[in-house]
Amino acid sequence: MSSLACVLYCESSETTRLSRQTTALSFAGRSERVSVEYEWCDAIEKGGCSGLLCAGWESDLKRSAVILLIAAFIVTTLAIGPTLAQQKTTITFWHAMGAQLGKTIDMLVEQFNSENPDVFVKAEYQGNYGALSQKLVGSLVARKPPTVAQVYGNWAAEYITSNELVPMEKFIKGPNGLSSLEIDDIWEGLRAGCVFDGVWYTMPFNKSVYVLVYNETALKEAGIAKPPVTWQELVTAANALTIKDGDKIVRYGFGLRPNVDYFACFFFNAGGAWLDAGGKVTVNSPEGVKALQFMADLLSKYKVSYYVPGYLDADFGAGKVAMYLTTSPGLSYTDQSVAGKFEWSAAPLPYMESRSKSTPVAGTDLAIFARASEKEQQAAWKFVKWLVEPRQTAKWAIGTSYIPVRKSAMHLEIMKQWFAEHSREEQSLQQLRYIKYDPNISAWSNIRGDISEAVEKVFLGKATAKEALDAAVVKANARLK
Amino acid sequence: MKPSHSRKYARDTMAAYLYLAPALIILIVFHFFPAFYALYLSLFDTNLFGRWNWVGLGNYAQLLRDQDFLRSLANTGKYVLGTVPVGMALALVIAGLLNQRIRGLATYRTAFFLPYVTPVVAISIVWTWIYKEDSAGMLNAVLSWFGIGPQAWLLDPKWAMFALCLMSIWRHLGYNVVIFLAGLQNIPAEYYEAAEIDGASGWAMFSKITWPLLSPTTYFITIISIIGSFQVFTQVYVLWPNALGGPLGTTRVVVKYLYDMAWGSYQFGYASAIGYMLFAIIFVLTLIQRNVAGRHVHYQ
Repeated sequence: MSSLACVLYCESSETTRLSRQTTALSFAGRSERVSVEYEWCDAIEKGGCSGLLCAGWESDLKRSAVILLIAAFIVTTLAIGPTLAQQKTTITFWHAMGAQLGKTIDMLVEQFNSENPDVFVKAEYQGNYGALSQKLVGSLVARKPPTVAQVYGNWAAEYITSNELVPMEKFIKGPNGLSSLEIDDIWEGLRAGCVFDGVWYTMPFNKSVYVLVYNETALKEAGIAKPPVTWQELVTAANALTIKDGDKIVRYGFGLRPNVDYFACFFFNAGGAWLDAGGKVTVNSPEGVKALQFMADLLSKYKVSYYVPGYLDADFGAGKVAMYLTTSPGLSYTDQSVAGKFEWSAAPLPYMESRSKSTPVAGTDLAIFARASEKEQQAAWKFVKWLVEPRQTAKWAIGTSYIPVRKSAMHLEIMKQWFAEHSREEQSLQQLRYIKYDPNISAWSNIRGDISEAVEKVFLGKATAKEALDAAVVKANARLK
Repeated sequence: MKPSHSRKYARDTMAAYLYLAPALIILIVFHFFPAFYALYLSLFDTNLFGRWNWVGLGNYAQLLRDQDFLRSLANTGKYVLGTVPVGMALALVIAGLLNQRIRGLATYRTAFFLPYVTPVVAISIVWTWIYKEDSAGMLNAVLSWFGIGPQAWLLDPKWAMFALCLMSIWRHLGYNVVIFLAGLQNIPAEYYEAAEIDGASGWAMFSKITWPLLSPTTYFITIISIIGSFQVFTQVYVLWPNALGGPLGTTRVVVKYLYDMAWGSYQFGYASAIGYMLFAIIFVLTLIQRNVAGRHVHYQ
């Protein structure tokens, strides 16, 4: 194991040095181009361009020169255009990464394009995941899907039933595929989430795991040395962190949300699994009941928790709650909310027993669409393969706080350095060996609703954990048909 | 008809169609075609791009047995009853007040109309702050002045529908007020003058003059409000971003359920059937109103 890591490490450290140079160059190129573009836009806005055109019409000589130029331009484009197009394969990549995440994608795509003159990747931001999903359906109906896109497991499941995706397996086993060493280098938990009915269809890309966020200052004040590791410790810590003013609770120890994702954080850590061997939803297992009961106890028995429908980072920053759960990319929002008002950090999710230690994984994978031509598919594979190479996945992780999908990425100097400076993000890495994922079935998004409803019912005291989960299982399994 | 005349007639007709074309094309492409296409879709089990199984009226049959759908229908019914009568009564009172000779009428009218022209999404986001469950929520802060403890408006199934109705009433108030106001100002002043000379009381004037003569306006607002209320979606989508719509699905209205079926589980045929079922319900209700309430409408 260690020798494998070493081989990969040595190999990658050299490539890193190379890649650093290219990044530096591409960055310079990019900023230059951007500034030129801006100047051009400014000129148009100020009417500068129209001024130039007007000046051109003043003399006939200039006028014919302009016409000649345009004609020459058209002729050359017509002549050269097709040959250029033949050399380059253009592929489209649809994603839902805005703001900083989108910038990181653009940076990587630009680097890929400059390193691969035969392929041109057009990265297109489609809005949030909801918008991306709707546009993907629209594009499939119009029979013009992108070449590559970010997809959730349950979307992919639906596309696969209509044969709209090419299995990643085809390329992985192909001539320009992945070696078994490289395959093993992708975290097992992430890989397993990309398999549909035994076939490897998608490639893990922007993945994150849940972590426990805690107010370090408050923890110290309460005399607790380290963040809670077990559920028992979570109750103790939450109790110590809860501040009461008479009957009123000024600060809650732990914040909850009434949804399936928060439930999963406890369900998995109680040793639960969504489906049984026969593919039926078994969330009403003893583990499920224990997990939901524990969440309910935090609320009404220990009275150390409350719950909100939205995100908890604002309340955490305002000091209304001392601990909550979030994904690694969510940590940047936490940081904005806290804004240096107190010390805070992150830790792996607390577990019921150490053998059931685990974390849900969130985020999407990359899929290649079947409508693309063979040539485009190969180009898309080249891009996908490149994106999950250690040095790229490391850059992706650094730019976005998602987890690097390759184990060897952790041995890269840039990654080590970054984690040294970002101890909170590093906490999610502690959990990468304990990933559990949602089932890849198209009915899953509605089943998620059923489970969320069960969680809500129990939070509101409308049903016991067992009753609520039993009802959810009946509904969920009816959806599976 | 002389030839030259008919040629002119043809030319005029052509011109008319030409002028109508932009609106007609938009209507056909974005309204009529989708409406009929949805009817066609409702006969299939389809995800639109691959799965196309003919099920005939199967989707409709399944709908009648679908507990989630029936619940969403009941939720919608509660919403209609919770918004339309109260909203209209309030609007009539405010319109009545604004119909007095008061200073700054235009300012009031604008103030009441403003929510209606503000995008629902923006309004809903603001109202999530108003409805925040702890004492930081604006509504809870106001209530605390009267010694009322904080309520979880959006989280508590007891309050969620109320919260939705309150916000929607507020948003639609301005529209109804302006229409009512126009109706009130249409009633000739002579009737009131004559009644005053006869010594009629305020109530008598309202019940014998204002209410009957306002009936076309009231009728119009009732129909428009009921149709609009049955189609409520955006507020629910923004106020409760989870899969269910509201705590325990208490505010999961029909259109939200339609949306979940279409985009959540790729059942576009089923979703279309929901759309047509809703259309049928609205259609029947409108017919009933036309035949029952319509008889009591007095056009001057």
